[in-house]
Amino acid sequence: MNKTSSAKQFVVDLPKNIFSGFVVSLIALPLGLGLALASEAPPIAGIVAAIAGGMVVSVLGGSHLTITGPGNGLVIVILSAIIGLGEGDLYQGYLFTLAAIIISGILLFLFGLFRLGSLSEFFPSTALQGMLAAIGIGILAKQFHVMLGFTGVKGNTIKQLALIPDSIKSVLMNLSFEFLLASSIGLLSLIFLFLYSRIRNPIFHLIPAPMWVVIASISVIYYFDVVRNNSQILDPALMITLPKDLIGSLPRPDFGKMLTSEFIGHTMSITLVAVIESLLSIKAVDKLDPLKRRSNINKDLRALGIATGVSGFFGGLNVVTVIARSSVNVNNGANNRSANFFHAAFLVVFILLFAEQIQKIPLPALAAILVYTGYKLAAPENLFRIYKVGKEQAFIFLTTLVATIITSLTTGIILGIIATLIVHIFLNKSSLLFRQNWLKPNVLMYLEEESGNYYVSVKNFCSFLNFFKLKAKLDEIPPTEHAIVDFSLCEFVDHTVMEGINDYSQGFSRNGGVFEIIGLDVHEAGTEHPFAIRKNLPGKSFFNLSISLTRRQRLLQELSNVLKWNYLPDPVSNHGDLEKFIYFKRKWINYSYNSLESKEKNSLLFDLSYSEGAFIAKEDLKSTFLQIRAPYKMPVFVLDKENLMSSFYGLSGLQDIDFKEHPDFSKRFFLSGEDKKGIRSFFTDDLIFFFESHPLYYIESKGDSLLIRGKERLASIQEIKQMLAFAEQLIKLLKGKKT
Amino acid sequence: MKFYLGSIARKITRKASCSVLLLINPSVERQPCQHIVVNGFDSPQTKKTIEASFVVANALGAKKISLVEEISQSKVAVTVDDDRSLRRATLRKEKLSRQEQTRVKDVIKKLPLEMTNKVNWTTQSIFGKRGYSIGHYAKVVRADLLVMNAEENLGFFDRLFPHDIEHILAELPTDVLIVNSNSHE
Repeated sequence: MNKTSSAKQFVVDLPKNIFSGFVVSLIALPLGLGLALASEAPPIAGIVAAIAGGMVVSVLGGSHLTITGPGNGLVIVILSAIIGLGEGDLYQGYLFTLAAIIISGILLFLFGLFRLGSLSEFFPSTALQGMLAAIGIGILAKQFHVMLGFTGVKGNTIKQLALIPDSIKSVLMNLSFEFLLASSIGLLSLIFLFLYSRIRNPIFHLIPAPMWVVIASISVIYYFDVVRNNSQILDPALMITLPKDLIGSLPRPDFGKMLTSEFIGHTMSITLVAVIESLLSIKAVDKLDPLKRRSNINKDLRALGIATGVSGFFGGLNVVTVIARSSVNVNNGANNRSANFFHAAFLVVFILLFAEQIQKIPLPALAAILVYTGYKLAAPENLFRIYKVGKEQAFIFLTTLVATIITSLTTGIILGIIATLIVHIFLNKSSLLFRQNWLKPNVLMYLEEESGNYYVSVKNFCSFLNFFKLKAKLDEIPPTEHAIVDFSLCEFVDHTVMEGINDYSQGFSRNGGVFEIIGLDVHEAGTEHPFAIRKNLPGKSFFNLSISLTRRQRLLQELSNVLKWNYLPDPVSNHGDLEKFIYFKRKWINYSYNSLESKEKNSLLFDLSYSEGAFIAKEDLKSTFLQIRAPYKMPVFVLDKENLMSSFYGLSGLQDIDFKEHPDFSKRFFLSGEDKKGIRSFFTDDLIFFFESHPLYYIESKGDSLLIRGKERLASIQEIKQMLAFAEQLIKLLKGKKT
Repeated sequence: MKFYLGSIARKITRKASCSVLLLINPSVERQPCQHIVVNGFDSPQTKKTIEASFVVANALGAKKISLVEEISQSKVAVTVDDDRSLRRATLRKEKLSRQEQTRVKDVIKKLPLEMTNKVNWTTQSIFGKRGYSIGHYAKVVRADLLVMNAEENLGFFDRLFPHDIEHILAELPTDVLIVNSNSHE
């Protein structure tokens, strides 16, 4: 693409990115305030970090869809830095911490400069998850009290966890109205946040959950202020205060303690967490990118370093890449870095125009948002998921978790690494394999000159200790090619590697390449290689549910007998060409199950598990789909119910194709596609009449096949029958049209 | 199966001023040698080594010779960061491996025809650590003999930071023939 056409494309995409930046800023505002408060810094510090991040990283960064700002993971380290360095004086501690933040920015920049981004691979994935869970528990323990209206609870994580029952008790004992109001704002906000993802209404979802909480709680405060004339309904300690003069009251970072070992320790752990959180997020966002671009990690780290320095200078927190906000960004249709910039710009506008309203936000509401994020990080599901991978993984996870809570974050992760190593040595019953081969090269990659395939062979062992070597080679293979990874010379493959390899495999299939893993079958047979059998590999069903079928499954089986179709209840992670449908462009397909396939293999009905967003903003969905092979080549189009969301699609470049002679159809349906002329001639009168007279389905054509979906949930047997009948008539009509 | 090279054997292999053949599976019955892997990197010794490997192939009746050109990663001079640098790196690699292939093919063309026409030979360029990749490759393709250049001037640091032939000696993937072409001059 040349310069002028890419500039033109940028202008065309601008409305989409401004819109997405706006939605993200609605989350970034409450989160920024909340994260700063949770780390005992002035609330504005979080907003400063988000603004510095958005402005600097969008210009200098190397990723495309990420949003940068204050991060969840850093709350705990910054909190302990402020308390530790301040020695009782929180504000002085904050000034010392600002110096630590600036220095960590410089370190981050150097990390990027010396291309040390790949060093993050050195952390075992289970230990990292244990660390994140510990951070989640830390946030949850502290904010739970604030959510109930108690700001004075001090102490470390364990103490605060132990005090939670006390706080609940004192709410029940102390039945004053102000108290109940504060704690009910907090509790109701929390309940709302948990229920938000259950409500699948697109209009409702236009405003992110944290903003709903903020708006609702501000209106409560305003109600008391204006209607009841009580401007101090809540204790001032439970309200946000912003400095009156933003520029004049800039804090000055204090480098006074710079050479003490305490300061250096805090700086190191801030940097460590910033690097880990950013890299994990960048990797996760790359997987969501509908345009399948690859981020330049080191360039992004350099930009984050500069942004952190700038932010620290203006009194802000560390700038990291944040996954929750980034995935909201992706879901709202952003497609380049300008969205990050606009998110920062909107924050500036909010702070300048709505400073007064922001000061009406009650802390319990913000604390509820943080409790929810903390819970998402530390959710018990995570432990169950890891336990499924293996008992030893659960052991590593819990070791890291407990060690991090009891000691500090850096000690915790180091102990996690040691635990992983011990587990590996124990499983191999010898450390010889690792000791002998750790530093030796173990990966061979070459382009086979006869076949044009990339062949990668891994020798000795492959674990978190040397995964970066394999990764460096795999990164050199264009994901549109055919890659074969051979583990037959490798005696040990760990969970971190299996997970990483699975990411590559999905990346290749998204880009139209092929990624094959061979040589692991040998390992599955041998008992000494339990890691190899854990991860689902493409094309394999990975857990067996066929032992007992549910009622719905039995009914599906009966239906298949009547239709003489083949029924397979098992989950299959091989989903063919589904990813090519526009519907799955911003979604992540997990696996399909309960599939019913016709004898001629031209219709396939299946339940599909897929997800939107990533990490803590991830929403797992399950819906029933019907895919049918088109009788002949059709134009590519999407036909959906017309609603408020579709007018936003109009904003983002996708246009509704309306038919003048069919006002009713045009009003009820949202039809879009590139080839407008083809679509207009394809939608003949009888086809339009057919759609008008039948129930509404989401229908998408990708030329050679059609995807039909009812509601965004699993369909009942009755609905499935209707869907099948609908499809049958549609195909009949299409076939008739051809002749 | 792992092989251990004792200190005396190691010293002989390094210091000998003639060519050395290391057999990992000596046996009274002759095992047929089917496939020979030869290094083909850019070095004045390589020409002699390739010639020697064809002599050996004819003598042992080996059917196939793979000439492996190991190209150091630093020659690509592009680090893969994003899609654009990946594209540049891929193009540059293609160019480099084409160059290397022509160079090796030129060497073979200069050899007498009766020497080369009985053997089926192919080339394969590998981007990776010199000395290491060829050993791994020989193992992957299950070669019977690996023919390598002898190295000059091995110092103390070469043992500390293994490279070239040291990797092969450490692992002995197949029988190894180290051709010392300096001794003939």
